[in-house]
Amino acid sequence: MKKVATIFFLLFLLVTTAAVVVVKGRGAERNLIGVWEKEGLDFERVNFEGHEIKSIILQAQENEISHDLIVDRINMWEFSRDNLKVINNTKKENNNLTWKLKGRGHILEITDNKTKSVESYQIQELSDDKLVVFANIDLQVRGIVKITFKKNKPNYAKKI
Amino acid sequence: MLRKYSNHRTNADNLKLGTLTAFSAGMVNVLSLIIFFSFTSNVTGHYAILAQEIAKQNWIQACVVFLWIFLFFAGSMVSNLLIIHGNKYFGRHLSHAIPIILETICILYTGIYLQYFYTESLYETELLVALLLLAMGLQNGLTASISNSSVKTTHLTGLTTDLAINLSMMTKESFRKDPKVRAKGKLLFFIMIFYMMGAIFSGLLYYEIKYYTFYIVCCVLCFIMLYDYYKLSITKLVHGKSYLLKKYKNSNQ
Repeated sequence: MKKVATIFFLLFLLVTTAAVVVVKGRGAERNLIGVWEKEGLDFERVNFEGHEIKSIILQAQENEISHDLIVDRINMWEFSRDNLKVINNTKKENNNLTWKLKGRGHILEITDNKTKSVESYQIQELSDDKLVVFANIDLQVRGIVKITFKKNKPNYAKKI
Repeated sequence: MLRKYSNHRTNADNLKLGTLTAFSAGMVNVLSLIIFFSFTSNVTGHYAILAQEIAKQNWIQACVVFLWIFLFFAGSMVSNLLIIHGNKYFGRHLSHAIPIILETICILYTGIYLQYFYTESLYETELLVALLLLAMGLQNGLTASISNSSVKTTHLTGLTTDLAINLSMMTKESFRKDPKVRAKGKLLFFIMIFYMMGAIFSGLLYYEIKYYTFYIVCCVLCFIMLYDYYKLSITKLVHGKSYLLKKYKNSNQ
């Protein structure tokens, strides 16, 4: 019985620690808030040509995949608590876009409230200065479009 | 369906319990996948994700996944505790029905919350996924416990393996004629079919009636809970009537 009690106690400790980390921790939502600049959009599909492996896809395929992707159209993003602003030439445009995180914080869902279209992206990497997402277009091309963002930190030194 | 325990259960009892609970598990899993982008009726994938998050040193997400796995575990444990200890306090049928009652409460709460209060924040998503995992743990613990582990309805990995083994056994005549092997094969096959049916049904239904689909799952679970009560009351009624009829006939003679 003592052994069982010890197991239960250890389990309780483990669960409490995990709960405290989740409640007190800085979640993915807070990590995402800020201005992000698109660094690149890569197509990761691997093509076989003869005996060679080429990681380049045809222009027509590229156009078809990235056609109408919200993320492809815009270079600067500002994630705030409620919505998503698009920054073009330092002028902030409110495109009526909203963002949500789903799953365990690994799915970024962007909704265009004008057209009611919803796009979801799988977050591959999210650090203080880098965000890498894969576009979830449909099952056949999932994971092909890789979009990398760099965080634009405010330059306080310049301001002073 | 719920009343009988362990070796007292017939194949028909297991078949009814297996198919209906698999149907509800399939529904819940697809709903959570559509709404939350996360599976809730199985934890195999979550173990892999936990390992991945630990390797990436994403401690918060690792803790979230750990808590999800723990809640599935806790649900199964509570189910079995109720079955082995609740018998003397609540009676067999009620102690077997309590896990389903708790599961229904979890799913009903999720449905109501989604319909009226959900703001799609990550915190809410994580909590609701946790609640559904607890519900699935309760269901899986109950079905596995009362059927001597022959009915497991929330995940299909073990079931697919067992089905493949069963089908390969059918290639030998001695096994083919064995009623136990045939009954097991039938049970596994129907659980798989009903899980798929539940999944497709809820996928189609969600696009029509949205969060109301959760209430349909609750109806299926209520049917499982009340089936034995209904059957018992019908049996009592029939026996009562036949007893009165006999008494009436005897008095006339």
